[in-house]
Amino acid sequence: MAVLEIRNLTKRFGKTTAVHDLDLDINEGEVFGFLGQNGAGKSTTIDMLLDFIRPTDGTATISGHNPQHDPRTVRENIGILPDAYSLYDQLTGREHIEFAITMNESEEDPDAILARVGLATASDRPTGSYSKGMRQRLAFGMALIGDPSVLILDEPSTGLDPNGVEEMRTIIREEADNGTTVFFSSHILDQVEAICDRVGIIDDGKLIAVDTVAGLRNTVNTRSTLILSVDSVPPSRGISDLEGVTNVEYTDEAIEVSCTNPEVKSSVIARVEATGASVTDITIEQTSLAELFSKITTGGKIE
Amino acid sequence: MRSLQAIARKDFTDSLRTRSLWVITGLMTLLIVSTWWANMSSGVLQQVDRPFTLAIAQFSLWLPLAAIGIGFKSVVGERSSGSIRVLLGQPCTRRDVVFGTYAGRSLILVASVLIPLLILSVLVITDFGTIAYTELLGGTIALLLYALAWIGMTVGVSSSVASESRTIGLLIGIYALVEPLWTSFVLPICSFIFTGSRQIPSQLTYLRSLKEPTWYLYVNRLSPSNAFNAARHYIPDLLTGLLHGTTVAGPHTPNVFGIVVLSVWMTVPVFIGYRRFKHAELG
Repeated sequence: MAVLEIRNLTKRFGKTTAVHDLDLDINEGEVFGFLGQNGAGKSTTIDMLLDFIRPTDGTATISGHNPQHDPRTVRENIGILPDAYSLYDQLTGREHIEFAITMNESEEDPDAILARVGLATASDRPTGSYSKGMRQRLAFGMALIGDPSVLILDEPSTGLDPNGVEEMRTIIREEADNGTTVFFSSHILDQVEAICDRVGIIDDGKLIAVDTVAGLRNTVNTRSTLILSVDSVPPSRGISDLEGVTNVEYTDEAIEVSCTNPEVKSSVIARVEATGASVTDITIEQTSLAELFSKITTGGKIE
Repeated sequence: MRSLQAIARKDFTDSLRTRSLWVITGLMTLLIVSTWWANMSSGVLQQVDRPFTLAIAQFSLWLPLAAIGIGFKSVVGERSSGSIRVLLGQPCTRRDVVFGTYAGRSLILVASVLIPLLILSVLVITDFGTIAYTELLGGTIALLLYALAWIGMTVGVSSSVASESRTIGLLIGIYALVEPLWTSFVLPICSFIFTGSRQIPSQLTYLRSLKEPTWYLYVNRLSPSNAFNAARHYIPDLLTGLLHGTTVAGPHTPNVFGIVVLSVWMTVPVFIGYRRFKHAELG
């Protein structure tokens, strides 16, 4: 069932179209990565989901509720870690968490939440003295309160060190395992790849691709390289004749095979082993999502 | 209601810890106390039958500035800093944000005004031995009405516009019109409309007499400080009348009108601000 339904969503600012005719369904319990460069329209889309700004055309609903007509219900269902936000400098971390608990009419324990986001020792300091990463942790903690059915995270790794990113990823996974839908925007592709069930790519206000990471790879015909370590390098045995193999290179202990079709790999291995050589190790180097992304946004377009 | 209260409490706590609040409260206290001492040594206070009522007149000029200082960022500051994005990410509506903030800042201003007022009543008691509680209570009510009128206007403007500089510009403009420009500019224009002459009636007797022309009794009270200056006499009069069963001599209708003016300032700008904030794009 689609928790988040976006239909023909369009937002224009004067003559600029920030979001153009967006259609998207996100299912319950799914972790969805919303990918795009800065300024592609990610935050504008999220702002419309929260009724910070209003669509020029089209609708977005969350669990069937339209944020414009029923903002409170939508905000009860959503936990958001927004982009370009600030906290209340005079209030402590704990006071922020307690405020969110009151707002959500929740019974949660502030200490447990603070500990979960790694702020247990800094909880009684005013947030004016927090680092960027600490603020991000606190805002994330506020988003988790009230057991939201949808978590919206706009560039969540902003200001976090690699450790913090890893901790946040663990929490996101835990939430998703409990049935929370996660809508995750980023321009950093590695994070999306590691965590998302599906990704959507937005460029210049248009959603240009929605698929699983693997699916995207297939569609764009990306190349992967199969590296076989062998005890003895066999002479060419028609490996390069296989369909989907574009190049074969031999070194002293290995064979590197470039393939465009992922299914060809097992045939390659079979042929090598047919020569009597034994394969001691198999490594696959795939096109990173970053390459994939630039491929999609420049030229190698999927329709 | 719960989220409105939570926002009010959040706003109150956050504002209470800002240094500017304590600077403003300190300055107001200093002003009230030093004027009291000056008027004691010059003998002015000894000549009036209500020294407390006279002393709180000092608030009429300075309280608007305190209210503007305390409240101008209230809503627009949340927009310009981006904390509105965290706030509106919580289960609440824009109505809760405007009215919750209004409640929080009103309490802050009331607290900020009650401190010099408390010190002033102690001074009255030490210097005169006593204070009529109708005078104390009536003056306090009048002052709180005046304070709420200005914080209402301030939060209303702060909710209406998108930038802090525009908020402060509008508020200073409004303050200029009803304070320094009132007798030199606004009243002469009104006088010309009503009488054909730019000559306005003397300011000295307007408080408790009916000698002024009718239009003047009303138009003059459109400025909240004049409405307050009338109310700080009128409300104690009313309370005394109620207590002793005597009739109150003062002109009722213009004074009640003045209280209505204060109530309008207190409420209407906030509603207009809410309407505008409700339709604003908070991108």
